Amino acid sequence: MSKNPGDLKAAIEAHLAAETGGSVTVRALEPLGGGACQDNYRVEVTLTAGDHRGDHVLVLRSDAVRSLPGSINRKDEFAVIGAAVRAGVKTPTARWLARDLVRPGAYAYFLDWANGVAIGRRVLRDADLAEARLALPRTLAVELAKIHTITPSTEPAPLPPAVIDVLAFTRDMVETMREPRPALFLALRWLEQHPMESPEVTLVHGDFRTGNFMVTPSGLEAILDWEFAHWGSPSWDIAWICMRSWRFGQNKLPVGGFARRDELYQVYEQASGRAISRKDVHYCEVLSNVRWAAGCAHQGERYLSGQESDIELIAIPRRGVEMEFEALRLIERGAS
Amino acid sequence: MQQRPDKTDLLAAVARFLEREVKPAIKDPALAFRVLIAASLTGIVAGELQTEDAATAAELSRLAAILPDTALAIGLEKKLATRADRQEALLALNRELCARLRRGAFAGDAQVWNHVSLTLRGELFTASPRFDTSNNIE
Repeated sequence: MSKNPGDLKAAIEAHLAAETGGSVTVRALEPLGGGACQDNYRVEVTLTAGDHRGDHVLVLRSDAVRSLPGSINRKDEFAVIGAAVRAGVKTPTARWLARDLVRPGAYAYFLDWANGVAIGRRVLRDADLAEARLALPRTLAVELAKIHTITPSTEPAPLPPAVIDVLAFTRDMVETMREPRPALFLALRWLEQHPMESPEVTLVHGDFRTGNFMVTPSGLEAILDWEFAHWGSPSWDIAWICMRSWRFGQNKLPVGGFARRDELYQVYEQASGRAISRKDVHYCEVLSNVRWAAGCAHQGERYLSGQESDIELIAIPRRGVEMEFEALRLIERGAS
Repeated sequence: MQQRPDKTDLLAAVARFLEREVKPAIKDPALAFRVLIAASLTGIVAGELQTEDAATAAELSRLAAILPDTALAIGLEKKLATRADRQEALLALNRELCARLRRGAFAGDAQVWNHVSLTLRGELFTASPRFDTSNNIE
């Protein structure tokens, strides 16, 4: 159970007082919706000491009771964000890691508040974001290249996320589905027969897509949500942003529903000095659709098991058919 | 059983009510979004009620052609009387197809690929009517 607002306010004040060495006042505290794996809160604080004295708006991000397969906890996420900030990635700084703050056993930390719009449909359609949209492919390519400069050997201390064998992990998700879905087994077999060609390993953001980009009229404000970060091929992030699920109907603009592939690829290749393997991106796009289709079924089980009662959860499995179809369509089409 | 209004009429009325009367009255955007989901689910069920019998029969007959031995083993001929029978047969045949695909059977088999593709198209027709299944996609 999470703490009640009064206790949480007192706990935040005590934790930040210990971290900053001065008295702390929480002026406002409200829960934020949206995360499946976190409890998020908007916090307004006044700090009286330390490098950050003054008034601040922060996000408190805590582990939730449940997590999704493949997601990391807030302690590991805190370390990943630290590495990303050091690499110059536009993402809010994470501070003041805590344990037991919101709930016993749960890790939590504070993020600087980022302004802007992240909701996919609004990022793609809001009139005042038109100019920002034009600049997005270029900015995102540069940011992604920065994320992919982080490798196991560039880090002073080992970064916690695992090297994920995505195929084995996805196969397990497919095989533990309660309903047998032949399309997913057809796709898994194709994947086994067409392995990736590049063995390169970098940090992978893991959820690099429209919906996790905070955008203002002046451009990209921040890249959010590192909960699926892991070590793996940089092709994962390139494939993920091109997945049909994040195009919101803009099917001719594969990069997040706002750009053609070459607009992202060219700048990324220049910025990273790395040639994108079309074959590997295609493989990752097929596998991501399979993984996401199986994920939809597992989300539905959270409702069907009686543990949760959010109508969104039981609605998701019917959407999984779209990803199954897309995986087979991509296999038929081949790399592009 | 009373026929007028029928199940589809009733579900369509619920979907319309949620979309046109309930949703506009809700100020909380997260709740309004969930009302839209409820309306959409109601529409999906209405569509499945209309297509289910024909879609299930077609899927079963394609599966029986792909897995004649399994169809015989589960006594498919005698298992088509009720909706529950048909669903049970569908589950058994799909489970067997998945098990064989997992073991490497049907490599490069166009019949299986076409069957799976047709089944998905049928499911999308009701679950995601706006989903574009043409090749007009990048």
